[in-house]
Amino acid sequence: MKRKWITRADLCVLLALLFVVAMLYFLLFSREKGDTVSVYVGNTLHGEFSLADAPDTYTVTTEKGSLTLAFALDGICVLHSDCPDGICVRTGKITRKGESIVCAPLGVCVTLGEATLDGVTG
Amino acid sequence: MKNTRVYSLCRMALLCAAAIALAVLEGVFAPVLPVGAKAGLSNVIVMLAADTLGLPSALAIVLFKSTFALLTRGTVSAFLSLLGGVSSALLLWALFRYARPLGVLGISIIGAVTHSTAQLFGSYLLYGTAIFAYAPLLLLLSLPSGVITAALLRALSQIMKGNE
Amino acid sequence: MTFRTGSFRLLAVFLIFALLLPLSACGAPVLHTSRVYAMGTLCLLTEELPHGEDGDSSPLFSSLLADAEALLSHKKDGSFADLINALDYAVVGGSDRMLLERLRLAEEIKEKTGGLFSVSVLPITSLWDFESEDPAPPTEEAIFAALAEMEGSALHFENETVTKTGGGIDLGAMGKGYACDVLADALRMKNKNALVSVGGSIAAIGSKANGAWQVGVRDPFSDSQSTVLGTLALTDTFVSTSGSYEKCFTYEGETYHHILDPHTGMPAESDLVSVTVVAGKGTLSDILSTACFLVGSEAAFSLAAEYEAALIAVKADGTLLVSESLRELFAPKGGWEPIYR
Repeated sequence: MKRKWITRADLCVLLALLFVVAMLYFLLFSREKGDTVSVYVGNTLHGEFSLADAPDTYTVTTEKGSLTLAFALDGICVLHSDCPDGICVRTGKITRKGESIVCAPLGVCVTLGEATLDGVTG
Repeated sequence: MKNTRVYSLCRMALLCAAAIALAVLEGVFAPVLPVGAKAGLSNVIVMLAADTLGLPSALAIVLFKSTFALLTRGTVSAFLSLLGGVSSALLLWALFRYARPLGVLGISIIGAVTHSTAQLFGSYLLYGTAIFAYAPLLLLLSLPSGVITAALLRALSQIMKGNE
Repeated sequence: MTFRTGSFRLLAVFLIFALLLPLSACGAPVLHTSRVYAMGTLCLLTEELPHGEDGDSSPLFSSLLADAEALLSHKKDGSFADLINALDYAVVGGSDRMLLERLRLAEEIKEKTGGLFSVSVLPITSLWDFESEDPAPPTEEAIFAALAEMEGSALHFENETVTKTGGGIDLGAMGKGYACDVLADALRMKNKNALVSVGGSIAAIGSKANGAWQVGVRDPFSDSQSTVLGTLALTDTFVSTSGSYEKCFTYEGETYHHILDPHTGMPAESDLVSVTVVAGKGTLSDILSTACFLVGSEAAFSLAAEYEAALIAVKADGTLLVSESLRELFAPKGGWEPIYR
């Protein structure tokens, strides 16, 4: 094995990787903030919330268990889920339009969208 | 090297054991990372095999690793492990054979990137698009993971050489 | 060698793009929402920040709301309402002078509605506790005594001094609208484009970069706060809604809502379940929403017309009545058939 440990090409690979990371970061996170939360169970819309006046927490109960969402002004995360893998909890907070948290075992999908309304009177 | 068959059997057993030991070690740090993703430390063994023993041995180790994941962590992990392992083994082998200008560091970084990209894709198949929010983090993590893998490979190949 | 120079050139091009890309994201106005709990309700300020996310007006927002509450709430020691209830007179001066004019307006509308709208209603509003854990309607004797206390109540104005006769003052029916007026003045001074919501009373200040503020009108028949019956496109205007669906309780099979009739001391028996008023001033829209609810659908539209205000009224039978002047600005949701008048 006559291969060198570090070559100039390696540095190119390294820089290219950093570049791709920067690009991905830009593409994924420069999107506008979301402000409306849609909660789906299966394919049916379970509830819609505006981040501005949502409750602190909201619990979705399905046949397979329940899942608790925690709202913040700038996003939403899953606080607790009855699912075995806990991936939805570890997904953390989503803040951008179009992002979603999926809890596959319970069939719950939480999506951030754009509010069509700036306010509600009543 | 009198009995090549016994020697290569021992070598394979040793490599498989090392791969699993590294996978377990990595499992200790896994909760830090989201989406059940792995940095791919045990990739170093696959790399070593791809470099010195050839593609079939590398793939055999990948298969062994996934079987271990199946037994200890369930089908989802095994699927992700197999996907990440096979794709990085194929690419690593090809790189060692054909990519002249690349050094070991570059190859191991590419290996780590392949490993996590494949796992990310696997997670996408299972969980949907939300997973891609982790792409930058995972790719960034494959940088230190690639460096560590390269350093480990250096140490390991020294040991292997000493034994020959 | 060719590999090296080629890849470096490629890398250089990549890096230049990487540096340029983030620049294209700057410059677009951002909508920023601040949330404050004040005046016993949730208050929201959505403002347009022209350069990224710095310099929002939330400190101003919360301090002005606190000031308005300290001026208007009869539960705050030293407030206008507290003083006039204790002493029968109070002096309103300095930056609070707008209150004098708004109180005159309230008295004027009281006259026009034959006393149905009144701010001198503390004797009966204090009998009803809609926030209690297990609310119950007050006894007939208590209501009777309260009504006697309110007999002949009125406000009199002399320069900066307001004197009252009769029952205590409760500015609950105009306070949120007044806060909208105060905030609108302050934000206009700062040349802000913003949408203020004080517990559902709204001040639309300016407009968004891409058009009017979009404000939903709550569906009075839905339990969800975010279900709307339609959308209003608003620019530089004020909106308030009074509905029998909010702050109500059921006691022994009977439902009691919070819009009280000062003649009976009981929840108003109106043919309306919700009235939304679009008007040129916040206090005006707030007062009119209560007044129009109390007078009922027949008189509501002519009352609103006197103040150049427009209505969206929902009758208990589900009929949706909308002022002709809102035809262009109001977009009903599917299932709602507005009758314009």
